[in-house]
Amino acid sequence: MLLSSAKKGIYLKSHKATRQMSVMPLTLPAEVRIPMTHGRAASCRPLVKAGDKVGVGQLIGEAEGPFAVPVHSSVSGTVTGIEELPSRLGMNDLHVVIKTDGRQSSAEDLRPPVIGSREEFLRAVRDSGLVGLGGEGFPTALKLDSAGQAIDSLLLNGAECEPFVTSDHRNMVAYARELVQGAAALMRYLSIRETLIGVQADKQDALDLIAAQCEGMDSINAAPLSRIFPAGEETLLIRELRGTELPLGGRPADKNILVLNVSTVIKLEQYLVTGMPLVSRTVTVDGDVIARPMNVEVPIGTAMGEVLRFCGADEGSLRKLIAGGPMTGTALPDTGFYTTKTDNALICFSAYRAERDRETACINCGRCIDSCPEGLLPGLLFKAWRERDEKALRDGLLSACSGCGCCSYVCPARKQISFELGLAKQFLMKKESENAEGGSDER
Amino acid sequence: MSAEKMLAVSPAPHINAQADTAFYMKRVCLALLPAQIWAVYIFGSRALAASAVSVISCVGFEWIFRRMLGRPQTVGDWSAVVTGLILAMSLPAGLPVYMIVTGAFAAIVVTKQLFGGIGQNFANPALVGRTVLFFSFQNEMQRFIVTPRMSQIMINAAGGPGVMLSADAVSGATPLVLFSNARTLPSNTEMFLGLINGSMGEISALALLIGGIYLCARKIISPVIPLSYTLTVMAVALFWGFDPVFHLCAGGVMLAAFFMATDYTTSPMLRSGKLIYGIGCGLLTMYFRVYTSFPEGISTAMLFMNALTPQIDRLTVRIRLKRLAKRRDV
Ligand code: SF4
Ligand code: SF4
Repeated sequence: MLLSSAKKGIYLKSHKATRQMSVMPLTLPAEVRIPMTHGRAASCRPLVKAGDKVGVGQLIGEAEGPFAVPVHSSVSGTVTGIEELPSRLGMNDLHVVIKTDGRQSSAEDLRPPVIGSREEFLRAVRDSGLVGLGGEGFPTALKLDSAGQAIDSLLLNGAECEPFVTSDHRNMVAYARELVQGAAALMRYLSIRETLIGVQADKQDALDLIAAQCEGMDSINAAPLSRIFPAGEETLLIRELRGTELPLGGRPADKNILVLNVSTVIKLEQYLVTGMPLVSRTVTVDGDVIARPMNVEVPIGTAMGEVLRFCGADEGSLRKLIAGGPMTGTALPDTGFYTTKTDNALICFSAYRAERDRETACINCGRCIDSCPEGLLPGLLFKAWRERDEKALRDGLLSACSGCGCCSYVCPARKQISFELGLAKQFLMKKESENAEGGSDER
Repeated sequence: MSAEKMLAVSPAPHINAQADTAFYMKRVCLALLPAQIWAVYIFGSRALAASAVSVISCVGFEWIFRRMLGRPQTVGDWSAVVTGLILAMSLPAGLPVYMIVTGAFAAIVVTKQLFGGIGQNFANPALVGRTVLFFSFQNEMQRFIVTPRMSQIMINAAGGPGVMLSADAVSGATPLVLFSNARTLPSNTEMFLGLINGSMGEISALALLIGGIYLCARKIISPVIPLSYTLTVMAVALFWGFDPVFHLCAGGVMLAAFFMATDYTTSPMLRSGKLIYGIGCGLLTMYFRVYTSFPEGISTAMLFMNALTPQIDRLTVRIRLKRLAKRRDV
């Protein structure tokens, strides 16, 4: 049963102007710079050097260690160099620069993986270069592997509760069959009993298409999700679809659940069938400086400016560029970045939309409390953090905060509660490791 | 790449609700409008003048105080306007200007700013302002002017079945005074509509109810406190064999329930706390009314509950977190 009492969170205006638009392929750029780091995966070692000819899907970055995910060329052409360029995390990252030849011919050795066992399946997932495409960016193979053997149910996350963003939505509409087939493959190789595909109820078209594909499959079903933000947050998704609570600090695997984003599963299925690894992704480009909001299929490593221009961005009045949705995405300092596997959206605002006026005093209105999907007391945690009150932070269950941003969104005093609670979490972790080192851990 | 380092970088979320503190405060002012209009209808331009004096002096004190202390200016958040309006609503229309200013001083400077400004006050500023005035100027605070319209109402009433008010027309006694003197009372309809004498914003339960419902419907306030407060008052009245509607409409119960007890800062944050608070206000109000000859029952009841709010919060928060921890098995 659904825990209706848990229906907190907030209702946001959806702004999904692109919800009815099919995905457009981007005009092939003359050059791409493919980052060696994607999402939360570890950095790769470039395998190519200047002068090498590459085809689409060719391995160009070798993954070392379980946290890395291989990187493939998104274009066919000639490698012109390896450059060190700023990455999203404020550090530098190696980028493989490839001049395109316009042919987009596939690499020669691409063929569908042959899979006979769980190990071979995990190997294939890793070779596909997949990370969580919903923006979370965790290496998919690692996620599947560390979930262990006892996975009971697979939850596919098609909530897409962020305003503006529709890339998952359009992929579900275009590839409902691949989605369901991908789920079937995951179930087969990982011995999963059932799959629920959760889609927010405002995407009825996607729900219908998926339901049609599920016809005759008892163990795969589509389920509408409530329209709140953040319905796609892991704890909420599990609560709504499975009616169970994740233990604090626990992982879905503790409840024998595996959660994957729908686009990830679609790309996985495409890899299993064609052998073409992840070389492009759907990006929603929207915002008030975008003349033609749309979903674009973008080769990984395309300059952001190029994508924005394709959609008619008025770059002169661009004041804020968000990689991801406006609730949880990252504001970028300039347009000089290259698309990674985790960029599900580029949202462009003219005015400094979320410009916080000077923070004012908390008026104890309780709106942050009413909005918090985890049932926390954000205003009190915020006060405790400002006072560096470790005990109050722990007693207030700070670690249950998902950073969803609802509290900051509603706060009339314009406090950056969610952001500062993120800092508070780091503070607690640091204190804990200090305590552990000093051997004086009293807990 | 032409756009190097020109974009705004700030932490997520990048959008926020339009409503800031001023937004909510302005809505509260709007909700007080029916009561204000009724006051002007009954008491004439004096009511308007009194409100203006109250609001202007509240905002003025806030501005001066913040400026003197070199603190960031907060008059823009409209909270001083709300305080000024609520204070005015709880005063008799004919109160001399210097007394209103004194009340505003007690509210804004002593209660609010000396404790750090909005969000820091231990008690509702308007409430303290009114209470201070009451104890400083007992007579004036109980002298209700009789305007031509008021006497017209009284004459009408005298002609009807509720033959009472004429006797008190000169002093303009309020129903509650009549009640404690065991005199004949106005009818419930007169009470509800506000065809009675009293503090200028308190007389019409209907006008306050309209504003209160608006606040609840727009989710500016939670209905828990007004409901639990008014229902408790009525239940206790019923229990002691009094007319519940009379006790609901008499004195400042409606103003208190919707506009004073719901003050964000001085009422509990959690719903369970709000329930305790509302019931507490109701019980105390009736206690003072029935067992004491104390005319300031409501104010005293609410100041008492204001003082208890931190304790209520502590208790309810602890229970809430314990439950939460259990749910997430920590
Ligand atoms: S950011 Fe954390 S505290 Fe704020 S609403 Fe989300 S979960 Fe609750
Ligand atoms: S929403 Fe903001 S102003 Fe309201 S209680 Fe929470 S922190 Fe305070």
